[in-house]
Amino acid sequence: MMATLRQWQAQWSSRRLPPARSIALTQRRLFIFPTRAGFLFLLSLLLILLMAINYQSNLIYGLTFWLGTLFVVTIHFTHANLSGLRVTATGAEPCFSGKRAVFGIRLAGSGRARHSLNLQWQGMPPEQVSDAASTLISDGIEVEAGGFTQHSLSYPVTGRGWCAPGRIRIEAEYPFGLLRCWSYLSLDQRVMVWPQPIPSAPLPMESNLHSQVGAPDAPQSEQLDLAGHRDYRDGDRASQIDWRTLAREQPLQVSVYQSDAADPLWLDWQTLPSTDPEQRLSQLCMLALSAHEQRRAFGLRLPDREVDIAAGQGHLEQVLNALALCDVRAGAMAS
Amino acid sequence: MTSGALSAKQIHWLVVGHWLVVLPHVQPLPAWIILLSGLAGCWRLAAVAGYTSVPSWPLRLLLAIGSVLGVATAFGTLIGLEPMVALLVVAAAMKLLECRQHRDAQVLVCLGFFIVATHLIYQQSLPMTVYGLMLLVVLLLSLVRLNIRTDDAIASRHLALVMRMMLWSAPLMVTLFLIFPRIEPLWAVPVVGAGAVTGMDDRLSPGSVSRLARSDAVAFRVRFQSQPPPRQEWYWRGMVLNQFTQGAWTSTDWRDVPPAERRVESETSGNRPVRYELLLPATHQKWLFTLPYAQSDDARVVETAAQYLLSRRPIDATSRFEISTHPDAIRQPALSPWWREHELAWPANANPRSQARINTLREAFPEDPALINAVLDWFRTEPFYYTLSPTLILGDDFVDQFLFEEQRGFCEHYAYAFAVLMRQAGIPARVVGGYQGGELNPDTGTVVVRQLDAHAWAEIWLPNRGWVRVDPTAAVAPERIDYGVEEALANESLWLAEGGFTAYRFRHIPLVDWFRWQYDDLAWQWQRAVVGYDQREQIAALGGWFERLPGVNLSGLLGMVWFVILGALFLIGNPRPTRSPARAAEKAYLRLSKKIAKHGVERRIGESALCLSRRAAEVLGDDHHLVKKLSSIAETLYARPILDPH
Repeated sequence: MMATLRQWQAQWSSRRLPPARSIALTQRRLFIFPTRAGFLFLLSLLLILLMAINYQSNLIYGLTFWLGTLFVVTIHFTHANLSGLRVTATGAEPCFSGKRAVFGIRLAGSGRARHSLNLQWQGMPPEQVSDAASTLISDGIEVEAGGFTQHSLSYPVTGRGWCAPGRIRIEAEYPFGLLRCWSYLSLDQRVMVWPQPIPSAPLPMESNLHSQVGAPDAPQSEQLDLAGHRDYRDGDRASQIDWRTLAREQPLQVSVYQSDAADPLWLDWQTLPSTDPEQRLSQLCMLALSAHEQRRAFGLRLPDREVDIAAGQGHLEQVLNALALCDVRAGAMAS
Repeated sequence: MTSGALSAKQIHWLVVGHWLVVLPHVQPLPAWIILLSGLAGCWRLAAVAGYTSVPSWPLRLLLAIGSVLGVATAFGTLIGLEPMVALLVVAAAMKLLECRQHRDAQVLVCLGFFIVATHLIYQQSLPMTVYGLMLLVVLLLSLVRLNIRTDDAIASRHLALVMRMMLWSAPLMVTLFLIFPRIEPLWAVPVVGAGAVTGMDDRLSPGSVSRLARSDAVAFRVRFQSQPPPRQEWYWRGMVLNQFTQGAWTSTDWRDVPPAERRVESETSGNRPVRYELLLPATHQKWLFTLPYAQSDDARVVETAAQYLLSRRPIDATSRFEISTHPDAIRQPALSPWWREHELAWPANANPRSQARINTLREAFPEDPALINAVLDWFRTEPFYYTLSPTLILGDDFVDQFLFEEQRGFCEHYAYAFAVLMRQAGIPARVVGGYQGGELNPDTGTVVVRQLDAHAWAEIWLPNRGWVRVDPTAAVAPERIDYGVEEALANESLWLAEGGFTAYRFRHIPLVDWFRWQYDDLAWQWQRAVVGYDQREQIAALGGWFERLPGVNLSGLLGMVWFVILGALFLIGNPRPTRSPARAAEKAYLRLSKKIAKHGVERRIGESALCLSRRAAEVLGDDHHLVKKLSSIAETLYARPILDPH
């Protein structure tokens, strides 16, 4: 019963507030209700009104009415603090399962300064907001008139593949804290979640990787034999650049290590002993990361896809995406 | 943000706000409660600064129980207005002490609004209202303080915001103030204790009037609608004290009067009465102060058998009364045997020396008027002093001691003794308490009567003349009646001892006087229109004023105020999406492209403005006016592809 109700509520609110990449808080998106302090205030007003009646005091009547109408005016001011605000999803960096994905949110004031805004995921504690300089904001976001602010909200992710976070709740009680105005934002945003890397059991290709994996603390440049230099290409890592060539005013050179090309490595789903498919993916992820760390070229074979042998950051991301999106049921059918 | 701990700045703000809120209660509340509030604030400040910690909860509980017991012992009860206010202030102080969270602070602010409301029971003057308004702003700023970043300071923009909100709500407040029905009190409220407000008491014992002469607070205001009577006749009668019990003169309770005697006839002459408006601030008593013989058509007012006016309910808020006075009326021309006995009642054997003296005088002057003159001559010729600081006389033989030994007293001493002498002589007599004199504002015809004008005199009953005023003080200190109390007491140090540094001290300086009159007039308007707002009457006047305009009625007009204010707020709060220059250019472009299409250059889907203008130029030539316009718009749009708006 409750589940049906909740489902109905979710449907209703997604109909009322359909997801979009950028949402302006219009009047139909905003909700407003007195806070606990607001109800306390109204109760006090009632008692002061009784005092005015019983002492027949016009001044106390005046005080009551001024506070009462001030409450009415506060409804408008609290509402106006959020009304017209534009919230834009600015994307999220992929992350590993079990970590917190960081979503970028931009708030644009649209001509009016906004005060003491709170962002949080619906149903989660409001603690993970940080601003552009990635300092955590503990008490309220200020947006200048005509300006905008950039924030990141972290969201705990599990599983793998595309993950759409829950709805964002934006709220403010400015100026008096007597009323709370809020909205739920279903921003059209998602994040790629890679499998959680876990160390693998002894593997057939252990011999290939042993020397590198076995001594991870040793400086890498000492383990690998320098093969030579080649011209810089887009995507090469800064740490690989041989900066001395720059000093000699030659074209930028990149150091190439021997192990890269010599020993192409296949990370294969089928060769892993583990029976749990998710565990296999996690182990493959770890292996891919290790291989990348050692700047080895490697390829990936999965039940439903294959990534050819290559190296570099772009390749790693391609491999990790393939792992994230792998359909393990295809693997079960194949084996 | 309802949760979360308070920052140091927020607590500073709350403590100062608390002190400001409690300040006006310094007068009616015991000093220790004010001290407690001050100390609670200091402790909290010290805790914030790190010198000490907030008291632990058992200590706080102990403090709270102790203060409640303290309030109970200080007032003897917990029921009543002062104990209630005291408890409110104590509660606020305790809350301040334990204030850590936002919600504590919110409770504190709500308590603050409450305490501000209680100020207005005691004081309804213009300065107090202005102070109350300031407190309102401070309390609202405290709420803002709780809802901005903890490290931000309260800035002028926050003050401006609060002011703006108060201004927006002011017209709404005024409409509610005008039309909200003033219902009768729902239950009998605890009355204000006698000591809390300076003013007349319901017992006249030696010393009760001279206490008032130390204050220049306004007792009431009167505005004559015609030429005011001469100043010597300004005897504002409050209560009539016609019963002598336990060393003090008191009023007869109407329940002690037999029903047949409750109605007393007076004869008014055919002359037009003197009409005036009486504006009485909250005295929390029932007496009105009027010139004899006063009548009022007001339903709130009753006339007593002793010819003075009483409000049916204690006057807890400034009230306005229309009074008409017949100065030449004969009050109670026929004294019934019951009344004669009542007005002559006197404990036998008390004050033998005065009884002996009056018996001697009676033999010399058998006629009543002659006897009265003889007694006044006695007062005039013997060295009686009119002073604010008489020696305290206790005991039943007060009159003997006063007349034959001390001979120093204030008006109530003389009225007291004179009435006793008259009763001893067999002349019905009673004491009247009220005010004498006042200050006429020459610009407006308003008379301001202050507490220092408090006075007591006697009334005696003479056949055919009814009750006649006799003021024995006039015999001792005639300047008191002619010029006012300051002439008579100019050299006394106690006079105005409680007045402080007020403008009244500097009267007779022309510029000061001018400001005083202006302020007095403002205060009159304020008291009359706002504090003493009488809905029945004023809504009728207001309605009548508006109905002169065609097609306007009052309720419609007031409803309109709400509609306009809330509508304007809604429009300001929810602005239409503003048209950026780029959007305006897009619209112009779409319009223009339709015109150009008529010349055979159709806009293609996804085509940029620049592209279209080039094609148009090829067909129509560079100099065609549409092409010129199009290319200038295209420049604005930076050759972006334009989509249809839908």
